[in-house]
This record gives sequence, structure tokens and C-alpha cells, in this order.
Amino acid sequence: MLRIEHFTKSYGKGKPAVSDLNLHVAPGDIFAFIGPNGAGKTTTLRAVAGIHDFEDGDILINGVSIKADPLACKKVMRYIPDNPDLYGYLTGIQYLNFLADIYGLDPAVRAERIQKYGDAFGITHRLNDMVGSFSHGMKQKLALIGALMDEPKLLLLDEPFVGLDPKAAFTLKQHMREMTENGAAIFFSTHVLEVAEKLCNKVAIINHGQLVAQGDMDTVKGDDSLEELFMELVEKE
Amino acid sequence: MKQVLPLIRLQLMEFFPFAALKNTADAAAKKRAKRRLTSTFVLFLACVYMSGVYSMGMLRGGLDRTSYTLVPALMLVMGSVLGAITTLTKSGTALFSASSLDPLLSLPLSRRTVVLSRIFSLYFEELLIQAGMLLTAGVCCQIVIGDLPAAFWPVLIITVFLAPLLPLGVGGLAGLFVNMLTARMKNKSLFTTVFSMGFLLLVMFFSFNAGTMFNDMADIAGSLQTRIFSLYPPARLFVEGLQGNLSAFLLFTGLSLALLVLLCLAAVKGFAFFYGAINATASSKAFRMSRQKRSGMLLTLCKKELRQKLNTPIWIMNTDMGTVMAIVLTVALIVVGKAPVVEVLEEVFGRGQQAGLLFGLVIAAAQCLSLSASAAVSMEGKGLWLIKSLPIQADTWLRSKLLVSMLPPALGGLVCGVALTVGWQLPFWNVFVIVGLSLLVAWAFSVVELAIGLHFARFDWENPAEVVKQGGGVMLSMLVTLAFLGGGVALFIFLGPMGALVLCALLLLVALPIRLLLRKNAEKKLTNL
Repeated sequence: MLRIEHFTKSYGKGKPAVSDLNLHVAPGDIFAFIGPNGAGKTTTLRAVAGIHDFEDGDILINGVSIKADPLACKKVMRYIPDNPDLYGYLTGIQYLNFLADIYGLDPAVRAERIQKYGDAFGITHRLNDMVGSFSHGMKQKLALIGALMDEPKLLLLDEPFVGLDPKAAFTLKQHMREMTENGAAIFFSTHVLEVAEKLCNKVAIINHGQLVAQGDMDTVKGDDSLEELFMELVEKE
Repeated sequence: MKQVLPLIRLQLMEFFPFAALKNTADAAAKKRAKRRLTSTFVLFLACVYMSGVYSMGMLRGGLDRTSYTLVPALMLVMGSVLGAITTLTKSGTALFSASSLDPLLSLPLSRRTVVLSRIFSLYFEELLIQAGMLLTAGVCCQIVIGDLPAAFWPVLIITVFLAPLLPLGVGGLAGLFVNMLTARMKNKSLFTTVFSMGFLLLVMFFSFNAGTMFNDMADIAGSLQTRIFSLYPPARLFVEGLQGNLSAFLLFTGLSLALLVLLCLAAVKGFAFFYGAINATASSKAFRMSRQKRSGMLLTLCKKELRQKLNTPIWIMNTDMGTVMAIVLTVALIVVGKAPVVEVLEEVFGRGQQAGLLFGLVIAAAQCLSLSASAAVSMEGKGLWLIKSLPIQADTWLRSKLLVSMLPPALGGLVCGVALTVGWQLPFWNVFVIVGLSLLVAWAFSVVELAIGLHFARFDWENPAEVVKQGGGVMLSMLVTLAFLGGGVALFIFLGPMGALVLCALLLLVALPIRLLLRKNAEKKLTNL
């Protein structure tokens, strides 16, 4: 589903933000991408989403290079940043319809899915309000609905649980499991290691722009908790 | 008072972020500070340039020792009208926005202190504009006229500090009134835009004083004086002050200070009310799912662009002036009637019979002053990640911006074309000439502005004013537009209708290759933004 090969990205002439990263996310994976602040998680996610260009390596989604055919890659994946700036001048429903038009969703299908995810996250009744009046958590929920309603094959999330209330976090986890059971893949970064440990079947740990560990969750963490392993690996560097 | 001074210093640091430049190690913050400083200086320089061009033009073009004071008076009026409209659109958020006020209100500061420091910030921005315009006008008068009365410079310099107060008071009070009316409206931004445009239309219409517009072409000074004083009555007191009338100047000073005091009282006394009203969430009916409609990608992008524009009053007010001017001019021409205009044009340029074509060209050319495409790319702001991560073709995205920026000139051209053709009983083909020219001008300039806007794009703004008033793209587009207008007038004067054809050919020659290049490199440009 997602293959990152020798990915290297620098900002300016300084040290690379990410250096020679290799990763594979298969269909059905819920892949946690963890690391300390400034490690290169967001840089990697944004490059996969086609937002950043990069110097070396390649990123393949369903075998298609993001450099060669970014549109084809973007059609099968959805990305949500850690603090999504949405269009405050649209109402919730206008925002979702905007996305649905971009995705080419049929009116009946979009209505059904907006209703489904809107009810699941508890914001259907607020969809007539301007997005600019939403709290951070509500914007996060709206962004999630916008991404989920197209039922993408690859979902990229940057710290998706920040700002979500416990019920919404639970709902998101349920939907993540449902999606991967249907063959989709999820690649997300998080600082909440307990969630990553319980939810994910695979993990990669990045520090100073380089991968320090990756693989199946049980294999990587062994008998330790993910938190203990993380502290050990990060302090070693 | 003690508490106000540090807050005022804080506000001044926004315009002159020397501390940020010197002390911060963060490269992005340094870049933002440099940009802010550059914007402040460029705004001042743009006012100097505009004032210099107008002032020298008028002084060389007909004003003399008896009427030169109209030059600084006109700059006062221009700066004040601009200031009043700008303050009207942003007084609510500048004075009472929760996101910027809350951190200050959590400190042991009185509300009065916080509000007064905010009013100072609005004042300072107007001060920059008035200083640039008035001082330049004064220097031009000194150069051309030479021997000025003793009172001229003291009055002018004091007026630089007083001039922002009237528009600040009027615009600020009007803005608070509008915010009061729209407290819980869902589309309050749209209402503010419509209100501001209506206000501007009235101002421009009365400034033309259309009924007597062409009566006194022989007496340019008298005609100009009538217009300035009818549009902005305090300008009379200012002019008399420049000529040495102390009591008139004291009255001008008193009036300016009185309006400022009124604004301060209203803002401080009504703080709780305005704060609540401006930060209130608009109430809507609870959403119930109904039948949804589907739009194509281009249409959906256009709808999004249009909604953003209609919800950003400062974007429209600062960049869609051309269409407003074209409409006002058309109404004025219809009121005056064709015969007097033909007579004057025949007398001055020997082209009376081409009046219909000339003013059709002027209406079409005015559309180039609608500069919204220059800000369109930067206005994506922090939401750019959506455009970059979605399966949207970059050229489709650019096309949506072009189409939306062409909408006001296209509609304006149609309205003006039909109105002028009917009002002046011109041949029917005139409508197509005016509409066609308006569309050509709108398209060509939108393409050029979009290219400029892409080059100067910035997305880290917090306030849209940073893009539409201080953005490099908008300023450069304005300079290009002014150069075109000057060239266009010269071409018509020397070549007549052939000049119009030459102009159209030039527009196509410039804009077409730019459009083709944009289309070819659109994906790369979007990725690199």
C-alpha cells in the first residue's frame, strides 16, 4: 500500500530533517509512527501526502510514485494534520460537500456517510454552523469526517487523538479497526504510546530524522512496554 | 497611563519588529519580522509615491499660487476616506477580538487600558498613510510654488497627527454600530462587506458631484474645491488653516479630538456589550440531512473561492475598487448626459465624437483596478495543506481563482455597458465593446496578478490585512496597473481608436504567454508553495 524508499528531506542547507528512511505499510496495517518532537514524523507524513517535495528516494502508493503521478496517489489517500486549519468561512456541511465534490462522491452516498460519521462523532446537529466558530476538537472531528467519508485506501494522520474527547477518540479507534479489516491501511503519528500499543500491529520509531526501530509491535517491544522501549532507544541516541 | 505605555510599545513592535529581528534565533520568526518591517515601509513609500504623482500632476496641470492648498486637501480627503472605510471593516475585530484580547485581559490591566492601546494601533496605521500623503503633498507644493505662508508647514505637520482621528472616529463608530447590528448573524462578514461597499459607492458618487461635473472644466481649481469640500467638509477648515486662519484650524483640531474621545468612550463604556456581540457564535438551526447536490471540481473550487471572498470584507474593499469606480463613473456620465461631455472632449482633445468609445474604454480599463487575483493565492493561508493534499489539478485550482477574480469586472462591465448604451443612446454594438473590453482587461490583469501573487505568496498570515494591504503581490500589481492606465490614456490621446486596438493587442501579447506558462508549470508551482 505504502512504500517509502530511501526518503531524504532537508529544509535549506542544514542537516536533513529525515535521512534515508525506509518503511512499508501493507493493507490491513495500523502503523504507529512515533518519535520525540522534531524527529521528522510530520515531515515524513507531509511528504507522503504530497505536500512537501523531497530530494532523494521515492514514495510509492499502490506502486505509483508520488513524484511521477501525485494525483493518482492523492485519489486513494487522505491526510489530516495535527492542527487542521479548515475553511472557517464555510459551514460544516459546505466543507464536507466541498470535499465530496473533489472526491466525486455521489450525492446519495455522501449524504449517507456524512450522516453516519456525523452521528458517530456527535456533530451532525452543528453542520449548519460556520467552521470558524468550531472549537479545536470539533474541527478535528470535522476533518476526520471529511477524510473518512470517502473510505480511502490509505489514511495518514498526524497526532489524531489530540483535542478529541474520550468518546470521539473511542469512535475513531473503532473506525480505524473497521477500515483496516476492510483492507485499508493507516499510518499515523502519536505521542500517546498506550494507544499505539493497544491499537497498532506495527510500529516505527524515528529520532533525529533516522529510523531506530521498526516492525511488528510485539516483535519490536518484546517484553517491555512501548514506553520503556521508546525511552531506552531515544536516550541511547 | 503608566499601564498604557507598555501596551502601546507592544503595538508599535508589531509595525517595527526590531526586537524580534535582533533577539530571536528562530528563522521563521525572523523572516516574519523582516516581512512585517518591509510591509510597513512599503506602505509608507506607496503613499509617498501616490501622493507625489497626484500632487505634481495637479500642480503642473493647472493649480497655481491661489489654489495650491487644494493639493494637500485632496491628499487629506483620500487618506481619510480610505482610513474610514478600512477602520469600519476591521474595528470590531481589531478592538474586541477574543483571540488577541483574552491574553491581555487575563493580566492585571484595566479594560480601558487594553482598549485604548488597541485604538492607538488603529491610529498608528492611519498615521503612516496620512504622513506619507500629506508630507509629500507639502514637499511638492514647496518645490513648485516656492514661497509658502508661515503657517503652512506648522499646520501641515500638526494635521499629519490629527488627520487620522476623524476617519478613525467615524469609521470606528460605524464599525461598532455594524457589529452591534450583526451580532448573531451567520453571514456577518457578508453584511459588513455590503455595508462598506454601499458606503463607498455613496462617497464616490457624491465626490463626483455629478450634476456639475463638466460645467466648470475651465475652472479646474474651483471645480476641484467644490468636490473636495462637499465630500469632506472638514477639509475646508484645514485649507483655511494652511492659509493662516487659526480659528478655523482650532475648530478642525477640536472636531478631530471630539470624534476620537467619542470612539474611546463608546469602546470603553460599551466594552462588555461589544466584546460579547463580536465574539458571539452565530446561532443556526440544527442541521438535518437533506438531499445533497454534486458539483464538478472547477465549480466547487469557484464556490469555495467566492465564499471566502464574500466573507473577507477587507479583501473586497481593498481589491475590487475598479468595478465600484466604473459603476460610479457610468452613473455620473448618465446623469450629466452625452452632449456636455462631447462638447468638453471636443474642446480639450478634439475627440468629441468618440466620447462613447472613450468612456467605454475608461470603464473597461477601470476594471484593471480590481486586483483580487493578486491576493488570491496567499489568501489560502494555513488551509493550503488541503489543496496540496487533495486530488486537485493545480491548473484547475488556478482557473477557479481567475474566474472568481473576473466575476466583478465581468458583471460590472455588463451593467455599465448596458446602462451607458441606453443612457447615452449609443449604437447597440457598444454594449459588446464595453463588455468584451472589460472581460479582456479583467482576464489579462487577473493572469498577470495571479503570476505575481504566486511569486510573492505567503501563507503564515494571521490577519487577511497582511495579504491584501501589505502583501508584496498586491502592491506590485497596483504599480503594474497604474503604469497600464497611464500608457492606455496616452495611446488613446495620440492614436485615437487605433490606440485601443494597440492596447488590446499588447494585453494579449503579455497575458497569453504568461497564462500558458502558468498552465505548464502549475503542478510544480503548487508543490513548491
